[in-house]
Amino acid sequence: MAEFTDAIIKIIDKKIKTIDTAELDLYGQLNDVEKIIFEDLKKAINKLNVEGGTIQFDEKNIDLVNSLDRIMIDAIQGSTMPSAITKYLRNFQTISDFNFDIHKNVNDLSKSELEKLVSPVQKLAVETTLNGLTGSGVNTNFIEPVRQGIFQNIVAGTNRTQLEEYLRNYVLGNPNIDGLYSRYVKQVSRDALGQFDGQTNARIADEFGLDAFRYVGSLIDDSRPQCRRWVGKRVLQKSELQSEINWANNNGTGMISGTTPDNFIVYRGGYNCRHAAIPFKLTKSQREKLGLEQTKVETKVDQQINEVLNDANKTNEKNQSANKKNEYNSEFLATTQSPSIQKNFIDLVNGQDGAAEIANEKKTVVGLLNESERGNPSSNSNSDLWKSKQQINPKQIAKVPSDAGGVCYTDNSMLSVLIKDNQKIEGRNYSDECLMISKTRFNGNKFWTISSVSRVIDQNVAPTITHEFAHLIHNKVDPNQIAFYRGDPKGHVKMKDLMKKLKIKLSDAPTKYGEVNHSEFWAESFTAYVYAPEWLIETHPKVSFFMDKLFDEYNIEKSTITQYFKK
Amino acid sequence: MTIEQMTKLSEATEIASANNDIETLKKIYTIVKNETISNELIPEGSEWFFALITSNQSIAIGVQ
Repeated sequence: MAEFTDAIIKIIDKKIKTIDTAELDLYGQLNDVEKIIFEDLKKAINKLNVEGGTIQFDEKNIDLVNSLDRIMIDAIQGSTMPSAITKYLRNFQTISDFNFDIHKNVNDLSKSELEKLVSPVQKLAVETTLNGLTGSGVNTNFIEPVRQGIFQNIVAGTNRTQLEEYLRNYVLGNPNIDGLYSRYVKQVSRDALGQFDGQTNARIADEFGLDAFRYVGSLIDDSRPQCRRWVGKRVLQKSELQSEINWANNNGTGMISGTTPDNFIVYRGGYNCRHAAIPFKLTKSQREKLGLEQTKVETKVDQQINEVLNDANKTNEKNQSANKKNEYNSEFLATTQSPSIQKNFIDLVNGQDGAAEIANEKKTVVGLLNESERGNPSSNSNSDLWKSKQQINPKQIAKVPSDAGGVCYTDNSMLSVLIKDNQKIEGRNYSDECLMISKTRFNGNKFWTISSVSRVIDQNVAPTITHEFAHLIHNKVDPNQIAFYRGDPKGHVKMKDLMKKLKIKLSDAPTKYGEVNHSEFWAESFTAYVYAPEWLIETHPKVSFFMDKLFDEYNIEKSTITQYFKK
Repeated sequence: MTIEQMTKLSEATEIASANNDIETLKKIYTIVKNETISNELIPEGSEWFFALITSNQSIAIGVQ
């Protein structure tokens, strides 16, 4: 495995020096060339027609100015410039040779495989530079501007002295600014070799998956901050290039706009950068040597840690999801009550085994409303809020006020109600509140408010649901019970007939609330039958017997009730 | 181990413990017992966990 030995660094330094020297050699010819051009132009303009000291804009002078193109071309061709350009262009091959040597040692890449890769890049770079330094490039950027400048001066009424002075400044330049030809040649050649070097290395890095760079080059007093930083780091990993470029943009100077990790190797530290970024593959031993191997180990531990964190989160989500099933979905809550009352209600529902799950599964809407907002869904006296929630699932609505009583309205929900064992009924508890409700039911204010059975049961939401679903069952199996509520004496025909037959009175109801009418007698007895069957047999044997018979009368399979209401 | 790694482990431990997620706790234990832990790096609030680990009590973190 090759490393950046001193010998390799020397080769890289030589390459950088070659680039510097090549440019200086080329620029060294420019003054002489410009002098020749100027002298030849000076001779030519001395032949221009002059009248009264002013150069004339006539046919002869126009022809003469037009012939200046050839004069300038000949001046360049007759100078040392052609051989200087040829020599300069040979440096492209020299740079390639250096790179072959470097990559053979650093990356174990053969010259033959590199030549195939680099040759097209080199050919394009040479052609572009040659075209710029000769031919159309020089014509467009030097000869034409000079000719046009002369015409403009003549048209403006210049004299020979003024025109000569113009050309002197334009072609030869002055201490503060290069002549036009020099400026153009430097523009074309400056960094042409450096960028070709970068393009070559970029191609090699891309082809062979090289993932790190050695930033090489000497530091001088005015070296840019980013170059100092990168030379100091010695190794730049490809993965960190963007952050390094960001650093350079924020803290450095002279970065070429648009420098990215992809073109970093070409643009490097910016305009006219005299450093090289040599790509190589960071091997394990190099990582160790550079203190980067620890990162790899940490990555492995990081992976393990991320895995356990992921596992922990997954379990957590799973548990939360399971818990959610047991939490009433507040989307189904139709309420104008304060958040604390809502929370109180939801906590109450969530505390019930299976109640929230059932409610969610059936999308049971629960109204948690003020007295004035409440209404009997079956009588269509509902608030707008209630109606809006009804649209979610108009066939399945339950309404429970904050103290957990209510109205259910659906046609088949009872078969999905799941209530677990061990709920208990403590028997009748004629609290003032219950009595009050019982007394005020005919005032129409709290008629639908309280189920006295569920009221005295611990965590009474589930029994409340059972109570309300009992009404639903009743609605279905004995539709006349609704008619009864609406004042039709024919309501509850089957139930009343059976009560009469078995000599059951409303006052035999297992709860005070069950005494208020046949519907509540049914609902309260049904709930007691589900939650406290033994207690019902013991304390209200007639009612227990009556309910068994009534289930038969209604063709309700009693095992279904046990199955669905008492799991 | 770095402070970032310790913090993540602490978070994972906290979540796994809250969920009685013994399998994950076992994995955490395996990672931690193979690593060198500097006391200064132990995140606040998780001293109990790392103290058990570093004292080589294999019954730590609820692995039973």
